[in-house]
Amino acid sequence: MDADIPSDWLRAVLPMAVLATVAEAETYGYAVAQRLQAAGFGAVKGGTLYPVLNRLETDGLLTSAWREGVGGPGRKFFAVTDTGREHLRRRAAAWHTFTERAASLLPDPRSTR
Amino acid sequence: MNAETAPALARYRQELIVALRLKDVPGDRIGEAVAEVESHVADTGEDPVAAFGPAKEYARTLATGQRRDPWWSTAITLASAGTAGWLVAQGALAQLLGEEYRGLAGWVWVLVGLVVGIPAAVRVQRRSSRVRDPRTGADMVPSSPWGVVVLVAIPVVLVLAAWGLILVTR
Repeated sequence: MDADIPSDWLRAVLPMAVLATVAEAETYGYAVAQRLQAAGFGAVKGGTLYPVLNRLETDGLLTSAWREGVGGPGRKFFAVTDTGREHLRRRAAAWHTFTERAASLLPDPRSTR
Repeated sequence: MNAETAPALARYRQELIVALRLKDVPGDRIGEAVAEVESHVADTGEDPVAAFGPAKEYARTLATGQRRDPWWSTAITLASAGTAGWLVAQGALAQLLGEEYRGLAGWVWVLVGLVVGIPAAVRVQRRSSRVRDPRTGADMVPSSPWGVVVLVAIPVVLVLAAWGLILVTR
């Protein structure tokens, strides 16, 4: 991630980003971390990621199930629920409104002002 | 996981179980958390402390929002378990000797003892819930039913001793 993106922005958007990742396809913790890193979120540590996943599950937005790994220990797979999908849709809409408002207020780095 | 991380993982697992126990996290939840750590570092090959932070701190994060029993709740549990054992034993003793205890029949005291003791027994049982590995269903730590047994047994033994004393001095 770019050095000048504050970590509290990441903290704020992480639950939504994790939910969006799981909503793409049923997946497990390490794969979520890899997906987030590929998307430019930097390396999200297990100690940050699993509490978020568990919180989303407690809130009924995700479900989880342990599956046998291939030649390794089991993995906990997460899948989005209908409630989770609906929550993501509403949050994504709110997020876009929010970032548009912020963008309209902030100076444009590409302008000469 | 490789040869270097295995001992670190075993230590982390122990520390995390203890830390979560101290925070009154239910056994099933502890098992989930430990399995998540093991599964994750097996994938990444990381040291568990590097990936999850020190066990104590990670336990604090996981237990946030978890209601912890205040000290007086533990005190009440202990006191009511002790009182229950005492009442049951006194009542049974009175019943056996065909006498009354403090003006009431023995079975009444046994009943009162059970009413006082059952909530305490349930609390102790719940707190000593098994730490189950969600992947295998096996116990992560040897489960111990002794908590309840000891709590009930102590007053019963005390009263049996008193009973013996009464029979001897009669």
